[in-house]
Amino acid sequence: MGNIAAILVYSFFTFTMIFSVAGPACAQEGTTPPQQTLPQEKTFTLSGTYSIEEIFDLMDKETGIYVNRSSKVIDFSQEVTVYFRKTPVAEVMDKVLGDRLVDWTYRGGNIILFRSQHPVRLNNGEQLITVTGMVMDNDGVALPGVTIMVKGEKKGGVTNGSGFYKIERVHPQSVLIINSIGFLSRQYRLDGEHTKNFILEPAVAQIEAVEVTANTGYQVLKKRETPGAYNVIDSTLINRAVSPNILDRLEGISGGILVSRTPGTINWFPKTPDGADNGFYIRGFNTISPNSVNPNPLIILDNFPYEGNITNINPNDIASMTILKDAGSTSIWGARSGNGVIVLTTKTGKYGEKMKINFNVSMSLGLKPKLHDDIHFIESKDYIEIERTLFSQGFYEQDINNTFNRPAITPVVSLLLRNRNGELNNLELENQLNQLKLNDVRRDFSEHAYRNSFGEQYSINIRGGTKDFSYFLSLGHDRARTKFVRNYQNRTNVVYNNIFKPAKNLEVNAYINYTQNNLQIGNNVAFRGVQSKNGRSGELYPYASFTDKQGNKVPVVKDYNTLFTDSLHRLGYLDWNYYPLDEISNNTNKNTLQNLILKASINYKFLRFFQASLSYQNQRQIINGNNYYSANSYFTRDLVNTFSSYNIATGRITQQLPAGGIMINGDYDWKANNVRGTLGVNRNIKSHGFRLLVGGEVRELDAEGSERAQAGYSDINGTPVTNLNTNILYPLTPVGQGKLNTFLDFDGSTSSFLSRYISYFSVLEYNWDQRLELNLIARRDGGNLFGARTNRKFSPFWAIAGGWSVDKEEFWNVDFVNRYYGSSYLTISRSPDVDPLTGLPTSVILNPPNEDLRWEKSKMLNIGSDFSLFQQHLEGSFDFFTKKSFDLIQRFDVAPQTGFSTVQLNSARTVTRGGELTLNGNWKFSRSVGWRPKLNISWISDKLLEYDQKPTRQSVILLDSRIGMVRLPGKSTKAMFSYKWAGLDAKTGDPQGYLNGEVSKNYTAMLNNFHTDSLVYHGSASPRIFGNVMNDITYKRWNLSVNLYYRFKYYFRKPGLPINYSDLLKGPHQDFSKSWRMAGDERYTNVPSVSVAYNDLRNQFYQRSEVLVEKADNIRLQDIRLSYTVTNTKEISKVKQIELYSYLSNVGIIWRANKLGLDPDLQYTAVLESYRIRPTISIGAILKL
Amino acid sequence: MRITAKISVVIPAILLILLSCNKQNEWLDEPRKKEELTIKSVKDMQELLNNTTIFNTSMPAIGLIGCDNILVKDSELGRVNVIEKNAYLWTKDIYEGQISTDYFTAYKGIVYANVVLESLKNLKIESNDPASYRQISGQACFYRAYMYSELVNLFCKAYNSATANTDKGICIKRSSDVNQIVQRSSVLECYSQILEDATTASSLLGKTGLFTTQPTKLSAWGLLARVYLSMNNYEKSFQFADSVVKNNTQLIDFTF
Repeated sequence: MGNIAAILVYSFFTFTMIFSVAGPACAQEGTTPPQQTLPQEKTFTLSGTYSIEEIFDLMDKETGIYVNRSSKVIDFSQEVTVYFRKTPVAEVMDKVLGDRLVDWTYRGGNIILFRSQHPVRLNNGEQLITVTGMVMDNDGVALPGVTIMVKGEKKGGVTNGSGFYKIERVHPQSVLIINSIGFLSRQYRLDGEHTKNFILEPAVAQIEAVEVTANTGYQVLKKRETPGAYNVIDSTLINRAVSPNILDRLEGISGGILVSRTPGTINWFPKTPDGADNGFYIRGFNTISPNSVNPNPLIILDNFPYEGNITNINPNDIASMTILKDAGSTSIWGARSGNGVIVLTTKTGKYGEKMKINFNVSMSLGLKPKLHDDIHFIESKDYIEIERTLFSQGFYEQDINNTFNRPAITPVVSLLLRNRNGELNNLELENQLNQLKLNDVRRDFSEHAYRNSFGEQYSINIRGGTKDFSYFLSLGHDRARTKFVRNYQNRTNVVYNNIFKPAKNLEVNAYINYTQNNLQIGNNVAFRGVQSKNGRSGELYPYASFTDKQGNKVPVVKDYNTLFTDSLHRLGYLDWNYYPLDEISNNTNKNTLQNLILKASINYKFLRFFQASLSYQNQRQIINGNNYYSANSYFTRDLVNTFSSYNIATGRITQQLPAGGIMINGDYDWKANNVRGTLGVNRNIKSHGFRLLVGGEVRELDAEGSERAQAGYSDINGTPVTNLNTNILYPLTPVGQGKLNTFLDFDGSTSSFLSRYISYFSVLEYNWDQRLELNLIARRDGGNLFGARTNRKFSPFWAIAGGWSVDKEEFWNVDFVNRYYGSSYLTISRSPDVDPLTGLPTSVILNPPNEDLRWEKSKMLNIGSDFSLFQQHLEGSFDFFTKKSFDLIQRFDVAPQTGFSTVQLNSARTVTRGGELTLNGNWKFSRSVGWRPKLNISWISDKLLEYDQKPTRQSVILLDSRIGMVRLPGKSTKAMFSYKWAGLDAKTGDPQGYLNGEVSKNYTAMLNNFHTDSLVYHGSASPRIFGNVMNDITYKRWNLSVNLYYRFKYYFRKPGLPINYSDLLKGPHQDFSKSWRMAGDERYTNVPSVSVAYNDLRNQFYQRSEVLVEKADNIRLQDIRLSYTVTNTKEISKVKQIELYSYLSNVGIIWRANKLGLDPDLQYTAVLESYRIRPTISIGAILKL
Repeated sequence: MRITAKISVVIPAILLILLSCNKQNEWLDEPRKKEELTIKSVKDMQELLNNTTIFNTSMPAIGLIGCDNILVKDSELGRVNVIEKNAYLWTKDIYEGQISTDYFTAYKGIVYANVVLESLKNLKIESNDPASYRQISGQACFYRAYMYSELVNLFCKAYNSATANTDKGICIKRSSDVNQIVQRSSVLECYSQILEDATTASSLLGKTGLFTTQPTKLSAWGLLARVYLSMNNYEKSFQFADSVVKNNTQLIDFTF
């Protein structure tokens, strides 16, 4: 605590300083007395030699203008020879004073003299001029209170409320110095202009301190008045990155937020609103049942929750993002806020603002993935050798002789078989095998199915306003062709945001937000994605080829024995071959999303202290999916053939499915309605400030959807064949019986989701002398969640936040925040199928009666402070928090006597401690060189305090296929465990572990032994320390910004070689070359021998063993941005500013703890795409008119 | 001030609507998913009992696997699931820490029966619709008795009147509450439960059903015959078997 105290002692309270300076900006003594115009008609006539004193006295008599001589800046007894005839007083003064270092000014009928290094005189007939103009910021907003000084003189002016200034009697070539708090000061040499406008660049670190406001979605609060832990991200930072997804732009620029990195797969829109994990976490993991409890932060767009995929939002329309982290700031959102809240605020116009146009265009090139990076591969020659060895050991005999389901036989095995049957001589066999060894399926995938991805973004927005009307209109269009050939996405956004002031104190807001999002993902010929459903090789074997030497398409062996399918084809079945080259274009999967948000709100201020508001928002989202498999596609041919039968007697083939393609249509319709009414009171009595907000809110989200498959679909006239008998058992080829509707949803299916909330809330804020702040938040939420019992339906929330700001700020909050979970009462569901034996309708029990189920709860304590050091060159903030979550819903294996295998119970408890430190520096080394470093450090440690489920073998192996968690109280909630490793058996190359302290190969016993002597606890599988370092270097108009991410103190499990041959053939792995072959190998390798006899437990043990766990710590160079900005300061021409930029993202890992060259944040086994993410290069321009 | 007046009416009005508790609860009673239903009628109960996959075709098979009706080649044994392999080989530890499917599926049938029996009580069907009550309750009792008899055969010592009182039986669960875990009862208690349910079923059910998969008075008697047979009570076993044969001499044709 010593360090913290030291920081607190040294920190300044920045805000008061800035405010006190920003207020009366004309402060400097005697500098800029209000200028008055010297009456032109006052002239003076005199000639001869007089003392200065005499001249001034005579002038006073004739013109009534008295020259104040009290300052004694010159010797008034000096004599001067003059010749004046009806000469204006100003000229008289200049002539009399001559080259003396004295200047004068006219005020209150008197002329005052003062010392000046560069007195202004009229020379050679030159006139002193009056300069007027306007000062504004980057966005064209007028800046009042800006000081404008004439260099070397005690002369100048201050801009008025409209940003106008006026300085009289300025030499036409003087240098003006413009200063304003929060902006970079600048100088300008006049060239005789009478009007001159200035645009000031913000000094970013300082402006934040002055202007930051936090939008909680209910209120806009000045940051300094609001205790609580939250980050505000302005549009400059939002626009630093280029991704069309707003959440991507948040990554690595804000403390306390962890983004789980998944490879850049194309965005997919959820069709039903049941909360898939977005991989986006604020302050750790708040739930241990992410499938049952929504794990995502609540996303608010313009005061109301945004239903649907966040990728629909155009980042160019967003003015700021506020990330609410602690209970004090989130609890206003009640039940859904337990995972933190992200508030997005759309740009708006301002009253009285001139029209402004912003134009943003960018193009991004993403490099084609390098499939050779994938560790899941065995070179063709090795794979062929494996097949040969296995063939000689009789591994394939069952398949060869199988006349039942006719499994696929790979080309090499076919060749070996023909050789054995004497159809192929040895020489020819070797020739053909050698030919196949030259193939590399990755090359074919890469050449035909992949490409460089390319994205374009266009955005234009117009905003402005009059005295009682403001508008913002934006149009955005994004296009992306993805790394898969033929696949693309495009998105169009229109936002219209208007505020009217029809009467004094009354404000009306009308808002329209429209999104159209199109996605085409028809090409599914992905590397490792072409899987055999009925054969020894799971993925396409490595020596497969898409084309022959002439470049013609050739089939690959996929699901069935080709001898069998060829014979059927001769009988009249459809061609049952899979042609990868054709498949790239055989399927057209188009998805369209349309989202419309309409919002209206009125705000009325009355009786001085009261403010009432009423808002209504309607959101409608319509999603259409059209997944079309053409008649030529393998999918269609496979299904048609499966449902065909051959009658030996008649020699006829019966096809149950009509000719034509297959179309799967999905239609989803979401309707969300929100109404909110609030009443606010804002009252200050002496040094006591009160603010009270009470209100109520009703929300409903009603989503419905249906999906249906249609056969015999003709792409040309768009009609399917409708008279299918989908519920009849037909004979299948090669074997069995089946119904059409069990293969595809020909009968159609529907889904529905209804979520309703009623909430009441009140926020009471009290502050004393702007020093002590106290916030009380109370809220009651009800939802259609927990069945019939009202006391469970409604849940109260409360929070207290306090702050004390003298020269430090400290916040603390305590609260209860609960979260949502589904049904607690017995529910049944009518099965879509009738009973197979009786044909009677049936129902099944969906959810066991579980009346003890209730809301999850958490408490959070947060202490934090903002500080500023080294004359505001370094500013920052830190927060420490402790979050205790209890009644967490966990999956619980219940005794089978209940008739259920698992139920959900509120029984787990966790504690998360952590904090965030943010440092923002701002140094200017000279006029043109500036450096702004930013550092974010977040640290988190979480611990499971209570978890009722005893670990079982299943919990080690199955709970999470990627990280294989065992949940043990006292360990992290994302704990990484493995089986202790005892090296390889020197005789057999088997993996060995420990059982009761002894080296063991008893895999069954070890897998069932959950005690520490078989297991190793490594630590957390999620980063304990993470953050970023961003450096911004400005040189003249150039700006270079480099962002590094780091993540430390966590572990990952790398995928291991499958050590059964039958598994290895299904999932090849490059470690095969390192596997144990003979005695002695165990000294060089930890990769076990591969076994012909299938031994599942041996493989499971190895896959979860200690040798496959690696330290995941890494530092990556996330992005580099270089920009060149030209600001037009000469005059207000059409273009005010142009910024040209280039942006390089995903540059690469610059340091990693593992020595294997693996990217620990790629989920190696969870997704097919485990090759490295490659860099994306973007260029763009921002134009401000 | 005209507009003020409007607003000050609108907001309290909304709050009033919200505060009217009954409306509010009604509004929040709507289920989240349309397909999630609660049991509201005897029709729903019958639909639960219509699941032949639960009550008819998922009978414990491990006894069958362990006997000599089935032959599996040694080379194929590696691909058979662990429990079935162990049962086939008569290994000492059959389950290797896994849950017995036979045990679980029997209890799944039992919880369905319990849910139906509880719903009959909750919805007061007995007094409102006595005919349906007899039909539904009879089926549920039969299935519960039948599932328990399968469990007893597989997991308990054979019935021995001398030790039945102390021999460990299976867990007799009469409620669908997942939080209620019952301990093992004695073999005697198990048989009493089975006899009670089967007898109730025989008294409630009619002699014929719509489908051969549905229990009837005759199938309840058949069950009683088998249970008494396991209890070495040959006299009663004969009595019930005889009653069945007297009422129905047809064989079921399984070749459908």
